[in-house]
Amino acid sequence: MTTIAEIVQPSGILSQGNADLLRSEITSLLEKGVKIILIDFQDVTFMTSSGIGALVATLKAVNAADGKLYICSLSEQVKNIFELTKMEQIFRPLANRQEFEEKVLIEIA
Amino acid sequence: MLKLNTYAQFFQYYQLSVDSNYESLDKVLSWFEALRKPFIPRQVWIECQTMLGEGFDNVLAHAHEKLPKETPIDIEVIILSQLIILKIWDWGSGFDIEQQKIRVSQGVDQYAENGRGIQILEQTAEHVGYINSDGERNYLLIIKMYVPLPAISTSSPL
Repeated sequence: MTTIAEIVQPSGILSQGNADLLRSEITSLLEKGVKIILIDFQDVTFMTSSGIGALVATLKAVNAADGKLYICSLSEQVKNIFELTKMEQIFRPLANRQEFEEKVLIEIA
Repeated sequence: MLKLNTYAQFFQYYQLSVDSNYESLDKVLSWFEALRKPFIPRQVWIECQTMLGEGFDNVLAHAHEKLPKETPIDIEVIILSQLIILKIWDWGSGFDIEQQKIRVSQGVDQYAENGRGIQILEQTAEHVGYINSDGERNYLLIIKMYVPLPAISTSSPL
């Protein structure tokens, strides 16, 4: 049996210094055959636009692998940077993990 | 006779110096958080945090990319009654910010993986500049206007 959904939960500050880590973590999940990925931002206290860049790269990789990428639980500042870069239109952030579970259940049912 | 009116002008100046590494951003943000005044709207403060993060990332990725970790990044914050001024100093060779402004004014591709820093600053601040000040150092200048929140009255309602 393969895992079809995985949750990635980064923590702390997401900036130029570690944005690539997030990207490579997700690439390795895709290589294992994971199709549905949630990045839970609950513990991300701050993000710069480098984080947005890494997410865009990640989204492209997930789309290329026919997968689905979700994000949830954005803090006020993270929400601010999503809005400023108009990325909320592309990523459509979910409120929390529960909303993700409901969405995924519908999709795989 | 000349009469001079003096106004109690609100002016506060803060300065912090940190090393050139990514861990310093944590220090910058906690320091900045402690400077917040009750009359500055929360959204404005969050936008200033976001802009500080962009300026800081930019110094590390470009200006100080090839400089030793000990190279200081100096941050200045000036709070006036309706303005917040942020200055982020670097020791790099400088760049043409006006060129970058023109580039982002034509729109940033939604699927671009970098180059959003200037876009964020331009959209959020009233003025963004990059100034070579003394032939040695440069600073990113960010001017953000705000409408102060009314003071919370402690008197009992009528």
